[in-house]
Amino acid sequence: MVMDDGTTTRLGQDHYYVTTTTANAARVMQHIDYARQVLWPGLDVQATSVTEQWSTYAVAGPHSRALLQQAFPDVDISNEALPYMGALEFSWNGSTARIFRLSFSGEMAYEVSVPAALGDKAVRMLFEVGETFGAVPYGTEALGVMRIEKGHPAGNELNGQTTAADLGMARMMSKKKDFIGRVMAARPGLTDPDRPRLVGLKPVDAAGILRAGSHLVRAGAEPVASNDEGYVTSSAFSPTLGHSIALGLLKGGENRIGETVTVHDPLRGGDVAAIVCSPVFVDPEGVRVRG
Amino acid sequence: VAEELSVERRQGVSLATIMMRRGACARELGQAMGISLIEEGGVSRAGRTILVGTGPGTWLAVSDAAEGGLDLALRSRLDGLASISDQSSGYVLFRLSGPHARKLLQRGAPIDLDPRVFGPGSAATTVIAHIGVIIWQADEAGRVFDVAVFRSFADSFADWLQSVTVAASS
Repeated sequence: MVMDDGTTTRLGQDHYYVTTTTANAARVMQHIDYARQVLWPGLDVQATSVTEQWSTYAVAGPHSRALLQQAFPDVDISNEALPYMGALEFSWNGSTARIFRLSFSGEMAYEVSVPAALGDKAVRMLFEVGETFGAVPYGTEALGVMRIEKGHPAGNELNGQTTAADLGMARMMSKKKDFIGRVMAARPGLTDPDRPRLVGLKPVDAAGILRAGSHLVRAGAEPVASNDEGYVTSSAFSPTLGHSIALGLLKGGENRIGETVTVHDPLRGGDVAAIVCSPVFVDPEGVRVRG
Repeated sequence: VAEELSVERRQGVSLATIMMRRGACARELGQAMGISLIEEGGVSRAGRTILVGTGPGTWLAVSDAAEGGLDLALRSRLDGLASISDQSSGYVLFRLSGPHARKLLQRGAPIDLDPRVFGPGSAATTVIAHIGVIIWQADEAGRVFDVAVFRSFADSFADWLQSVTVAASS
């Protein structure tokens, strides 16, 4: 089962920095401590929470690199020096700062980390430099919409009942090396191709609105519990595509791309016909993040 | 009461966590630091840096030396013996001074702070008002205590201090 999502950065030969979702940081820390103290007490691993030590700001958008290059003129953040999924450490105002080239929004994006005592200074400086680039603050609503457009699973999909394979990330699990969850992930019930899998949904009629929590039934099938094949986990109006989009967990999902299903919402009225599609609605090749 | 208790947020203090590597022992760490390191918890002093025991094989290093880079200095000194993480921004240090400091902390901390069991060099990791804290006695006479609180809880801890100080004075 997927517990949480985040990124892991290797900062040195034996030095790693792990991020989690906001709500799950304590639980993940607890699990890391459990793993190193109880499951593998023989491993030489130390772990400390540094959540309070760092202030981190996401800088996203086509101008993000130019903005950061101006903000940190002494640091080479060219595509060659800092490729997608790269990271670098440097000194800023006498302290260690880090830039990670990560993207949750799907745009070209970076995360800038400074010690929390310098956070206020850093974010003001970023907006000051950002003025010439038209930088604006973006909130969780914008982030929520962009992550649905990119098909990035979040809390609604990481509900404690989904596996990495259900979420389309089977390829991220090593076939050669051990990892937490490897044994469980191979159990027949968790590899059943009929399991609910992450899919994208778009309304057949562009005016149709897909609502989170709606149930998925085959087109023409009676909307009763015995015909239930999944549900909508997240939905949003996509400003990029100009219509409603949704992510959902659908029985045998990845083999049903192109099929029309009924999105049934008995509470808020009306059924909407939707086409099953890839959960990645925008920039599926990832051109933007690698630009 | 104002003269009997002063509360300050300590400035210019560097902090780092020290976690012992597997196979190393506190005696080796102490030798590398040039001190005799207390393993059971409590405060060990190494020049302008103190090491506050926070758990088995873990310490919070606190340095009031003006120059930064405590984590880097410890990293090179304890290479192979311990893992070091900078926490200079991670905690806010409150210093409580005065004859009532111990009594005030005892109103929040569910552990025994009686001078017979919590004296010079004593340290404890506990909670006050549901907030995780590291407390240590910072002087010999028992009039000065330092409390480390995670940065994002510092204002809540200050609120608690305010309410309990007012209650003590009324």
